[in-house]
Amino acid sequence: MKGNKAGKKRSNAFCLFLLLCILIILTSGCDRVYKPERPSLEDIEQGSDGLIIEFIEGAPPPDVIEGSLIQAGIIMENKGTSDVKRGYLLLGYEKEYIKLSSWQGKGIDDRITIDIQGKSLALPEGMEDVDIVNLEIMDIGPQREKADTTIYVTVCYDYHTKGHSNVCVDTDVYNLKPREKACNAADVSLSDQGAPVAIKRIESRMIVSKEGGVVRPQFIIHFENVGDGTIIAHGRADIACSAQPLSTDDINVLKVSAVLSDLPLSCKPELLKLRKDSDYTICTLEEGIDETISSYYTPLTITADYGYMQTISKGISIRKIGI
Amino acid sequence: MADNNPDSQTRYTPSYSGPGFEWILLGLAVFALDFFTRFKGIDFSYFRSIALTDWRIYINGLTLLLVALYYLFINKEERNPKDMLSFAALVMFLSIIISMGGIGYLGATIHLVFAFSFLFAGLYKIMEKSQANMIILGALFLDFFAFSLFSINKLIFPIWFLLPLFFTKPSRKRSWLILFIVLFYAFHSVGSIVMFGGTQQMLNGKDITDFKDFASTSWKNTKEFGESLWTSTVTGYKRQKNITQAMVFGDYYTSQVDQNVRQPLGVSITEVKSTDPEVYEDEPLIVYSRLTIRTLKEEITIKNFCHAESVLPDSIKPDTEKVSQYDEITVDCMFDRCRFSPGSKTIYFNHAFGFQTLSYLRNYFIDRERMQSMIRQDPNINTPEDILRNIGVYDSNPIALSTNGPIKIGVELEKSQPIAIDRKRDIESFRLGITLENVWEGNIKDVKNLTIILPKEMHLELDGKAEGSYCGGYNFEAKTCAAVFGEENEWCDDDASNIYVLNQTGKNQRIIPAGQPGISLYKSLICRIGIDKSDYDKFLGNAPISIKNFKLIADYEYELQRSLTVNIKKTEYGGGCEKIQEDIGIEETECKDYSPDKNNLPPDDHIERYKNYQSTVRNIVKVNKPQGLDYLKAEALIAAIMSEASGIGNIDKNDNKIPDYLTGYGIRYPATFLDNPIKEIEMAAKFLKTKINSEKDIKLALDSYKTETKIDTFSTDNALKYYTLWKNRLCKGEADAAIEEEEAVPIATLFKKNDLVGEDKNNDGKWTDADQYYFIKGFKKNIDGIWVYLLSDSKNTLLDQMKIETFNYYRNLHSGSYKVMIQRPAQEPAAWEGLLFNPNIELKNGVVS
Repeated sequence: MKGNKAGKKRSNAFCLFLLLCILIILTSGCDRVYKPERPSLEDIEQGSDGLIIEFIEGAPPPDVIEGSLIQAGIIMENKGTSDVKRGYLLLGYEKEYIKLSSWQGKGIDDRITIDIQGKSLALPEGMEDVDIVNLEIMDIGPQREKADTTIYVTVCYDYHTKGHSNVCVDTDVYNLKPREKACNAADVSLSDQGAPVAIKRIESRMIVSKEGGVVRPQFIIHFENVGDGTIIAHGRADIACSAQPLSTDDINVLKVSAVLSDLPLSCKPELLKLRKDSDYTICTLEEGIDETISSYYTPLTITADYGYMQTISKGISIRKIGI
Repeated sequence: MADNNPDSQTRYTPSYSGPGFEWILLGLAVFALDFFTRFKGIDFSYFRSIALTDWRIYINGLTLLLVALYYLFINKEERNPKDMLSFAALVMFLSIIISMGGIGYLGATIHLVFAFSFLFAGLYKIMEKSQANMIILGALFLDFFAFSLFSINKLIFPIWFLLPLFFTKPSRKRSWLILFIVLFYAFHSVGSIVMFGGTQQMLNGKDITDFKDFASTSWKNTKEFGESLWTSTVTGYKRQKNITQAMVFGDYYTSQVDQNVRQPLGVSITEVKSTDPEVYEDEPLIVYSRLTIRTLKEEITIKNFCHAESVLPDSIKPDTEKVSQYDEITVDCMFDRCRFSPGSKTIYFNHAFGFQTLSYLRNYFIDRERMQSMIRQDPNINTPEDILRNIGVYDSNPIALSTNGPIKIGVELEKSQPIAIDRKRDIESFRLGITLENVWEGNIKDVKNLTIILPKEMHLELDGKAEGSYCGGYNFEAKTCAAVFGEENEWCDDDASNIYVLNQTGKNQRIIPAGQPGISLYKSLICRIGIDKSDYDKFLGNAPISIKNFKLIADYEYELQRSLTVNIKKTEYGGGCEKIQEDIGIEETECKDYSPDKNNLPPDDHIERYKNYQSTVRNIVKVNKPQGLDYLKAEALIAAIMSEASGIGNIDKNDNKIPDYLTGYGIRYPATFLDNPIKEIEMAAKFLKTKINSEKDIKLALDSYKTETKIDTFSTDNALKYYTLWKNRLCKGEADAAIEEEEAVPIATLFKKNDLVGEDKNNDGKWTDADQYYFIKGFKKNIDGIWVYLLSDSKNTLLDQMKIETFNYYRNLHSGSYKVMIQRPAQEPAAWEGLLFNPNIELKNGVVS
């Protein structure tokens, strides 16, 4: 029994050795494959981030003394694929304790405008911007040794999400044609597109026209807020970053458009008010496709335009002088 | 091998049946006998010197005899070396005590008899003999030597009572007794009293007094603990009940104390004590109150009062003190001798100080439409609070933050945050609730000022159509930062704030109306505040959430009160106050340019009552330093105002004839009995300084007084008549003054500078720590025209001067076991700065006869 087992082990080891030799021989003849260092457009159009904002470490400092001058630094990185043009950065603070002296190079208002390029093939990491604001710490008043307050930074900007997918335009919905179809209409799931609002799923339907002769491709497009901010209506960033009233039409609204190949689709609703964090719209090619044409794949491009608002905050403690 | 069976060993365990309760009673008897035998033990230094030099005590035959007897008759069967050695040590110790003459004292004999009886009849039955021997040896050492060695009063630790208590059979009686003993010691907050050891074996009066003091302190503290527990429980319950009710019905507004301030701000009483726990009626009584003051930057003035029921003190030092930052002061309150009849007296200290408390309320505002849209449309926002949470604010129910101090100011606007501003409305109006809550164990005597600081776009709304009536009938005036806080202030910004200051002058409603005792719990105000439509944009500013602060500042007078009880004893050695008390009456002053008409005086009952206030009035006159009147006339003027205006026109005594504080005993407000008279006296005294340049101005000043105090019943003419009557009464008259002056000289010159004067309390003919003595540094007439000796190096550091009569009294009175001694310096000092003294008075043998 023992002799048999030992013989089997030896045989296994030999097989393994042989396999290794074959692999070495096979791979040694291969040439090195060229791998471009620059990311592809697909690589760039990934992720759930738009603008990322954060305070610079230690600015503002957590503990300050009344009467002192401090700086707060805000780093903004555009990690999405859309450029931020004429966005707003609003500094919120308790005027009781803090007075804004000036922004470095950007005036003395609480609100400044921001322009930050997003990711692209030419700029694969996106742009980064740093804004520094000089703040004056006020007297906290008598009988107090310390007061706590918070600095808020809100950014509001217009953004868009662009999603692409090859979809099947199935002209033989009921499989009546004798020839074999190139494809069948099917649902498509998508990963995030480098923006805080993502197209998550496309459901494809082919509607047969009553009159006959055409099929109308229809796509149910699902959107989701995958960022940690609030979606606002496109073009309302100015209002959002202010104390002005916002209507229900201004919050959680996407303006959706879609193009099938080069044919614009009709989306209903075009202005999509999201229920909760996700919702869908239905885009249809109203003129339809001649059903005599064979089924085929074609690109579907979906665009959502919206605004986005995010807030970060940082608490600071103000101490009295000489305590 | 060790025997692990617990039954096989005769060690003491709590369940062991030991000697009976009778041993505790016997021990108590030994302790009681010490009061009569005055047995104190043997001075250790004496023992040490003998033990080191006289070896004979170790070979005392008695030692060997007792050891031999022990082995012959008691311990024939058990010849355990440990027992023998420990017993020998015990007998040796006994021998030493006897050799030193211990047996010659009755007290020592009783102690030794008890110790050995308890050893043989008690401890030997419950433990190994060697253990028992060592316990008794230790106890004897403590009893005879350690108390003098460690300067401990042996009466405070009665060893022969405590030892049986520990080793007797457990019983319910014993448990109760142990509990009592534990509480007795536990409640004496300072533990033991360190005593000065004597060289003799006799307990002196001071030992016994100290023990009584210890016992009385224990009892007093136990009682006070019980009382405070009761008070804090009951009043705490009542207080909370009231506050809870108020919160339910909506007239109590919360706040929390700023925890960022590390220590309580304000004034706190840390100690109230008498320099002597027992005072004879013919001794001056000095009590003191120790205060700790803490402010951040501001200076505060503390006014100190003290009184004993209806008796006012002869001096309060300091009566007023300005302090800032961190400070500790001690306020001495002195009553002259013979001010009290024998018995227990309660002395009250009142410390009033002006203080300021601020309260901050942070609120969040948002445009209403924006808020509603966000709630409807934003999936992450379901309530208004979510809007705040979304931006990292978790302060959705902000509570006003009150600075640390005696009161809290609660401020509430709207409970739900953020507060929505509806742009469609012409005006947004809110209810601002304010509560001034007394959080310390004192009284808010007066709210001097209340300042409301609102955001710039907000304003106080009128109660109705009544001009100037806000917050339920109060008059508030809009002010600028500079007007309220001064030009230098960097805290207040007119561009950001609307400031309203409470105006309580004239007929305007006061937070604490005149004559009311103050705020002991809380007081609430409800104000309406509003924003006009035109200001909405500015109010909400640029940010989605606008953060606004509401500030309340209360300037108030707070009064702390603490009392202590002093036992006034009747003088034991004759004399006392009977004769002297007859002499105490209204103190008169020599007067210039005035011949008193002694037939035209105030009513007798007025004079009688005025005695209680005279020293206070004189102090106030002294503090205010009248410009146009001499002290006599100033005093007469205040007495006249008191006579006419006292009680602010109200009469609260049944006879309805004499105004309050000349007759009153605190009938209306017993707790603040002194408050109103002092306030009145102070108010009257203000006119001395500011209104009167000569006697001619008195009528004008009285008219002005009437206008400002608004005492309708005050008659200027009556007051003027009283003024003349009081001048007649307070002025000595030239003839009287001359006679008095002649008599004053020999009394004042009894002692010379640098004489060491005092009481030889232990009657040993020399100055020791047990005695009370002073160096005479000078003498002078004080502000009241009374001759006083200036003292230094007194054991009692609080006493820096004493009336000459007091010394005169000691000289004449203490001739029994206490005697007054004078020790003159070897060299006569130089002439005494022009002060008179009579060189003809000589001492005989250093003692004034």
